[in-house]
Amino acid sequence: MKRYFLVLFLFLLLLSGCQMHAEDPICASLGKQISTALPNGAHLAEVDEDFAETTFDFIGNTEEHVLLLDTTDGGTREIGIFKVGDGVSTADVERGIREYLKSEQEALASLSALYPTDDLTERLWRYQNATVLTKGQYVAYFVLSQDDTKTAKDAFLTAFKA
Amino acid sequence: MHFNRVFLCLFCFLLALTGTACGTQATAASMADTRSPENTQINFLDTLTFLGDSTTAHMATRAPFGKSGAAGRVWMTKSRYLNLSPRITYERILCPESGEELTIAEVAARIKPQRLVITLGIDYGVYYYRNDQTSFEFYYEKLLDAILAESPDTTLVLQSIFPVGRQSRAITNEMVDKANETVATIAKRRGLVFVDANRILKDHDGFLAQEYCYSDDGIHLTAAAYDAIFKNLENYEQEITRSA
Repeated sequence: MKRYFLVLFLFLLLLSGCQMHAEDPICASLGKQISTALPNGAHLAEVDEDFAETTFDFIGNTEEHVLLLDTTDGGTREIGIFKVGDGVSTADVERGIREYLKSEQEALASLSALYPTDDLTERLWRYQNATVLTKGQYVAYFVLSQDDTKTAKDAFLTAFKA
Repeated sequence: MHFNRVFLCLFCFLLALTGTACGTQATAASMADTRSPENTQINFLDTLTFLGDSTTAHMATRAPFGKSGAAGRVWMTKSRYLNLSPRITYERILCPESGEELTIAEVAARIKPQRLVITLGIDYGVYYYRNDQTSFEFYYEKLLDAILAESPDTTLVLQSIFPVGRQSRAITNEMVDKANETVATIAKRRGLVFVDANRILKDHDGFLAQEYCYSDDGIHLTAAAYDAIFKNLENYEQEITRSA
């Protein structure tokens, strides 16, 4: 009897382990779900790896990540999702993202002063109002219009309920 | 009556002679125009297309493009700025043929310019990579590779980032000079011509000469500056022609 309980216990342990892995979404699929939910989401394309490597100091310590960019939209749309790994906390990643967003804001603010076009003004607004969101081991940022930000947040959080 | 006929013939003869002389002079004049150095130089400049940031965008209205005009010769974004940043190969410029917004590589694929003069860095790269020339170089070369992948027969010409005036607050000429060293290194490594415009734009203190300064930010240039830049480019004609 004890043997059966032991086997059952081990089986349940194994099952719970599998369940945990099944619940951890891959960043790329998170990105796909968000872009599918957004209007013209097909224009959001994954950028080359150098983008992340030169932009985010913490990138080497993340387990995985995805960066999406859409330059067909006048204001530019940008989404980043990172899964933290050993050696970096979600707080570190958030800090790194906010530093990047601040740097982009400064660059766009000075350009906007020289070239006050609608596109630049919108682009600056998006960086100033970018959303940084943490869910478990994942940190995401959205540089989007107001409506798209709401859609993206919902799609991101919904992906974890599945 | 006899004398009238003589005078009439003489008059017609003189008239014919005058007409012939005028025609000869006109032919000689036009031949002289064709052979003149000025006409040869304009032809070389007509082979150049320009890509860059805001200091290039303003060429469309201030540079001496002459009879050929600027149409199709200045590649720029809709907003007239272009950042040398990780996004450089994703940024969209206006395609001269269709007016669509396409990436630089896509425009190169469509137009396949004979010679593309690139002046890039003042809008972003010079400042934000002032302590990171490795990234500056990486993204500059990434752009060159993207263009050549789509238009391998285009001769790329790398022009120096123009100096800034005394009024420039954030960007200094030390930063510009450092970035230009990187651009010159890239050109040398790739066997491309590096056009140094700064030697003719700077004053004796190393700033953009006041007469070339268009705006209070100390960055943008007057028509006189573009005139000087074009004249400077003519000095590189042989070198650029050989580098093709």
